[in-house]
Parts: sequence; C-alpha cells; structure tokens
Amino acid sequence: MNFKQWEGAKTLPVSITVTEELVNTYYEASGSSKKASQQVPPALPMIFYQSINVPWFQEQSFTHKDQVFHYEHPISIGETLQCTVSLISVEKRRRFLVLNQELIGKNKHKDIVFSAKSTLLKEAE
Amino acid sequence: MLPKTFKEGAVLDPLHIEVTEQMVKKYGDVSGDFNPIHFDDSAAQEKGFPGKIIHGMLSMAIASTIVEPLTQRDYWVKTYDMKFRAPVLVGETITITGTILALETDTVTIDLLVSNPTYPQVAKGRILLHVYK
Repeated sequence: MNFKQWEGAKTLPVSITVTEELVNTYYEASGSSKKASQQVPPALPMIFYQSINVPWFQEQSFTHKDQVFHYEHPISIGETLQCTVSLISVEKRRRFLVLNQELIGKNKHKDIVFSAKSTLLKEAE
Repeated sequence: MLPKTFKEGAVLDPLHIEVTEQMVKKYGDVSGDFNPIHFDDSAAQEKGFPGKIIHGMLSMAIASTIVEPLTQRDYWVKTYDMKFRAPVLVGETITITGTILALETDTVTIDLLVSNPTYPQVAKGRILLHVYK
C-alpha cells in the first residue's frame, strides 16, 4: 500500500446514529455497569470506523500510538452524526510510517460535535 | 458539587480491572476490530508480543471510567487524550490512577496513568472535564 498517495484524502460522509443499544454494548465491553441513561463514553467514536470506508485501511493493521478526542458538546443518545475520516499526514520515521488521521462528526447543522485524532504506526515496506 | 477531598494534587480512588477474554471479544464485536493479535496467541507472537493483547482503545475506554462519578453528575468530557506506551495482555489486571492536575471554576483536569504488572506506564492520558451550564 502506498499510503503517501492518500495523504490529504477524505472519506465520503457516513450517517451514524448513536443508539442506546450501541452505548450499552460498549459499556459492557469496557467492564462498566453504567447504562446509557446519561453520557456517551468519550472514546466511543472510534467504533464508528467500522461504518466508514477508509481506503487506506484496506486489510491493513497498525500500531496505535496516540489518540485525542475533542468535543464541542457531549454526544446524546439518539443523535445522528455525519462522520468523515481524513488522512492528515504520512511521514517516514526510521523504519516506520507515521500516519496522522482525523475522524470528525458533525450534527445536522453541519457543526462539528467531536474530532478524534489518531497517530498510527506502520512498518515501512 | 465536587467532593470536599477534591483539590489540586489529590489522587482519585484507583481502579483495578481485569481485562478478560470476554471483554476483548465484546470490544471486537462492538468496534468491528478483529485483528488476530487480539484473539490468537500465535498471531500476536508473530508480531513480537508474548501473547494476545487487548485493543489500545479498550484500555482508553476502561480508563475513562475513573471519571464516571463526575460525569454522572455535573461534568462532561471536553477533551481526552492518551499515549499508548506498552501492550496489555488479555487476562491481565490494569490499574488506572487519576491525579487532579488543575481545578478551576468550570473545569477539572485529571492526569491518568494506566499500569499493569509488567509495565508501570502502559498508557498516559489526560481528561479535561467541563461543568454543565
């Protein structure tokens, strides 16, 4: 995979609704007994990746180094978000490629609700 | 209202959570991340790990539960970051420690440390909480 060719690319927007069932399943996985009556957990948006066709992810595995979530306001149960992923940069450092990418969720007014910036490592071929 | 014990430098009650095979399976199901390094010892060993490891994002999900007593009441998470330094093996118990870095009128900043029996720093993070208005 030539990741450099995807630098600057952005996926098509995908509409994702955060259901109570989804949040409860997520809570179960993280060992929390809390039910989805209040807030959506802050790291939950990473599971949106499975709904988005990210071309530079096809059959690839990465080492996750850093993750940053930033919220303009909390996500509500039942809220529908338009989500995209952008590949911000691809740099070679020693024997690794460092990919910086960003998942963004916008509300129906097209205002950003959250961003999730990831730094991923891949052994250079 | 924050508990009276809340002040800069105070340490939250640590969490000790065993990350079971069932939790990893559930996280795989909910996230769609079925990378074999999380489910198969030999696949993980091929990548240089001693055995199957948990998803990094699962440790981030677990670590955030330390602030649940606050987010169930007056606060919401504005930012949450984490640096992953070392792997956690499936079945290990991780300890999450939170230290109050800054306490303002409308915000609380908490430094997080995730450790396991092998590594004193599996991951380091920070959460900024805002009060609901």
